[in-house]
Amino acid sequence: MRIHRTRSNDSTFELNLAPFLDIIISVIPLLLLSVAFIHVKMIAAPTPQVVSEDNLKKPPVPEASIVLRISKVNGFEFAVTDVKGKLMTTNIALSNGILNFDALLTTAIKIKETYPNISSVQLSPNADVSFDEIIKVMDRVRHKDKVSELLFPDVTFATIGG
Amino acid sequence: MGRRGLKKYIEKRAPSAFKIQITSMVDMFIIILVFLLKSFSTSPVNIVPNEHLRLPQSTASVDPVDVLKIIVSKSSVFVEDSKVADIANNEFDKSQLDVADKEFIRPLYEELDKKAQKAKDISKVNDTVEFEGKVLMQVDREMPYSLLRKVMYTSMLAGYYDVKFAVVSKD
Repeated sequence: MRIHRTRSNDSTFELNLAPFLDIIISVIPLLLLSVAFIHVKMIAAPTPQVVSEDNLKKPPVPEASIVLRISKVNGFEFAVTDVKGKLMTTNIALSNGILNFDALLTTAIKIKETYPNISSVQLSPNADVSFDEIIKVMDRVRHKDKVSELLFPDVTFATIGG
Repeated sequence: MGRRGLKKYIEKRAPSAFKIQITSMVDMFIIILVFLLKSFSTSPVNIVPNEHLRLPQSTASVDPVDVLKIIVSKSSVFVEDSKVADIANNEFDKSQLDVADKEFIRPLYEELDKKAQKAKDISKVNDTVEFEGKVLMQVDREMPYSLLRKVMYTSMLAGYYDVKFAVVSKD
């Protein structure tokens, strides 16, 4: 009986955590150096390229295009030109004096339903439109929401230079 | 107190060694470790919080690429780490703009042209390197389009057509 008690006492032991702690303390400073509390992403917005004179002489291939004008006074204006060259404009007025981004999304969805083959939009913001508002517009016209289908993923700027 | 009593007293008073209870500390460190591993980032873009440069928020999910960086803050324009132009009241100083073309920022063009030439020279001797004209712009969210347009126009003339904007993820 006495022997049994001794064996029972021997089976409990204390884990030596000191080397484990040493490893964790070495790893934490390394991770602290590479930690990022702000997750940065990117949006592509290619600018028009300079083309050769030979290319300019070629007759342009008729294709549908969408230009989205952004004004802090008049709101948004979608100008859709179809393959035949017919122009259709849709205005989205300001809401309480600010740009109506919800109405922009609704209109973009409707235009996508009408012209499912168009995947690009040319932005034409006025000079006083802030970069934050441009990014909000890009977010609204690129996709319906974060996980759903794309609307106009290729967003470019129509008014660069002169 | 007899000699035997004194010996017993000393044995009781002075334990030769003691153990620190580190289990709870290890628990704490593991929680910190998991949090840091979750926030670990190998992104080529490092943003230093700055009152002159606050990026806009976006739902974009594409990770940034390691290309030439142009930083447009409220007070100045940088190409990588070198300052090329000053901004005051959301406008460039007139001396920095071209006389004939008010959209053209000469010091920015000179710096970008230098970088482009260097990249092109490297690509001549190294087939794996190619000048693609990509540029990542970190622009302050309050910057007006009039100013941004000048930067984009100048970078376009220097051969950097493929503009990408850095944004802060809404996640």
